[in-house]
Amino acid sequence: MIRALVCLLSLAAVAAACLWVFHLLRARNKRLLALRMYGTSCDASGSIGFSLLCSGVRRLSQVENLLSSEYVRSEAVVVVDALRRRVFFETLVARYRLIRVEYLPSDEFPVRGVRSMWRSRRRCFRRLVLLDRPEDTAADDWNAAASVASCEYLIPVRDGCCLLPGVLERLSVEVGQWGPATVGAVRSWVGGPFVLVSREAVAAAGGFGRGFLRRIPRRMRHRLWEPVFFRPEFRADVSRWRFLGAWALGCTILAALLAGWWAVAALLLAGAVLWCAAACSARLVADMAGRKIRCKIGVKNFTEW
Amino acid sequence: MNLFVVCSVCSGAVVAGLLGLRGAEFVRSRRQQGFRSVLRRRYLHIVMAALAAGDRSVPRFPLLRRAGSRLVLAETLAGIVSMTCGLDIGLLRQVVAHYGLDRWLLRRVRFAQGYRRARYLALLAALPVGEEVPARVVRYGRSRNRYVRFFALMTRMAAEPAAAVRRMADHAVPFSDTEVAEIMTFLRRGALPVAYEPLVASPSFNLRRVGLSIVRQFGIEEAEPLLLRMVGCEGAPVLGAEALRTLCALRRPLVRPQVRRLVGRMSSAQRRSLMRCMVRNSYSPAALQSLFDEAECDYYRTVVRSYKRCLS
Repeated sequence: MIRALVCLLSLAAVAAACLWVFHLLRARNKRLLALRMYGTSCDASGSIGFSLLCSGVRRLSQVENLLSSEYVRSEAVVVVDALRRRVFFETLVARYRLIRVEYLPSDEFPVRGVRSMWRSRRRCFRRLVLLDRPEDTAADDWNAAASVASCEYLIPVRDGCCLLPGVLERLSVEVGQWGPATVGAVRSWVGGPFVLVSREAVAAAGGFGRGFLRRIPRRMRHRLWEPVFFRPEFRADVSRWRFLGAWALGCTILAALLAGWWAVAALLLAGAVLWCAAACSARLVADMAGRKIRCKIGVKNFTEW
Repeated sequence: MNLFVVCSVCSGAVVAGLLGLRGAEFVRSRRQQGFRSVLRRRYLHIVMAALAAGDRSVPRFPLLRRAGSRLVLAETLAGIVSMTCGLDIGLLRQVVAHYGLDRWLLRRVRFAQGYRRARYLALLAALPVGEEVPARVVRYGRSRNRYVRFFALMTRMAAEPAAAVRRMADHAVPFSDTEVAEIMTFLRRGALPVAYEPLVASPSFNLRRVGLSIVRQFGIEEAEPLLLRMVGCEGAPVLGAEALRTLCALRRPLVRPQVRRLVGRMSSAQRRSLMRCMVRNSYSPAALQSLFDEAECDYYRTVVRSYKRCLS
């Protein structure tokens, strides 16, 4: 009985690892295809627009990253506490020449405590909206930002989350494929958590808050197998310790096989499958995130033609 | 014992496969960023120099026999065709025919699956290919993958622009927003005629969507009667809503009976979405009072005021 259970578990681990890598491979191929679709870069496709709702942003570089997308129908709504983050708030106002506009609360989302609202009138940064409200929870910040957002799809962003290049174009392909009425939420766990929600669905769920995604119907929730935000791990090289660990595991498996300990070998091999799947997925995710690999090919000969 | 042996063999095979995949990915990434990126720059330089010189002789591309070089050449040519308007593609057609890129891509299409197949078809759609290609991609129009179907259609449209409208009408799946945007880039390159009237007046859903997109992007105000007719049509609410947004994009007057009827049929969320679209297109709140009820007009005024400088 125990023997069968161990075998079943190891086979399940193998199947799960294969499925995980298969999904990532498929996502990578889809991303490569989407890179060839220039239509979304030239002009926003239809009514698909994205509002990036930023809570807890502390660095100017992050705001610059969010505004740097070439997707036409996108905007960034940044929520900052002007009393506690006075320097950052004033830097934002000065850097983007923001003007104070009238803020009137909307009844779609539960919003409280907004002191002022600012918009950019500079031609190159017209897509920036700044809200001043006291710092409390991220969900409250996102509700406040959603109430002034003008696009139909909302992307909650936390401190330190920078978009990978071409992500909004890629998301527009994905959302357009399913159709506007069928997308309530798109989630991804690859390379860090990410969620995109339809404004209508979040408003119907009572705004951002604990478990708001569960209130969106299951048939309207979709999954994405790609990274959306940048993470430092994408640029990191493989450490020497990981190589040593792999060699040690390989040697142990070999020793178990030679000694005829098949139960130990089966378990170790299941572990090796998981390790290989993790290594493969790290490579695929880094590839999708545009990681640069150091190349030792002598390019000098090619350039001297 | 036997059960453990079977488990070990299965796991070992999967480990070998995954290690092979990882190795292949590593080699591919290194090639992509080393050899291929240099080769891509070089090929681009050669093609641009040949186009600038204006002579009709086919240029020589070095290292074309190396693995992956043909793909680099195909991607380079497709990139040039996709990103230039009014380009004389005679020379590029000669390059494609001389190096057999269309036949090579067709072979790759045949052996690839899913999104990879769609990617090769997208390359074929962008290249000036031979006359035999459309007939050979017909079977991919019945694929289960919507991108394969769409790029097979694009390949056929690119090869036979005269039959493009018929092909779009025959396409069984409704176009997504992205697919319409892709067709628009194709149209802006001059590959299709900008004749919006037969498209907007057509009974086909796909043709109407493409027609609306043409009207919106080229700002064709003469299409207003056709748009109003579409807004007034009760059988197609999706197209009616898109026609209404097109009217908004053209900044045409919206206080019309057809528009009032369509707005009355919309849900509250759809009406609010339409209002945000109207605010972006600078419609005055006073002009829209007859379309919305008092509470919605208040919402509209709120959104409009959020764009105005606060003087207090």
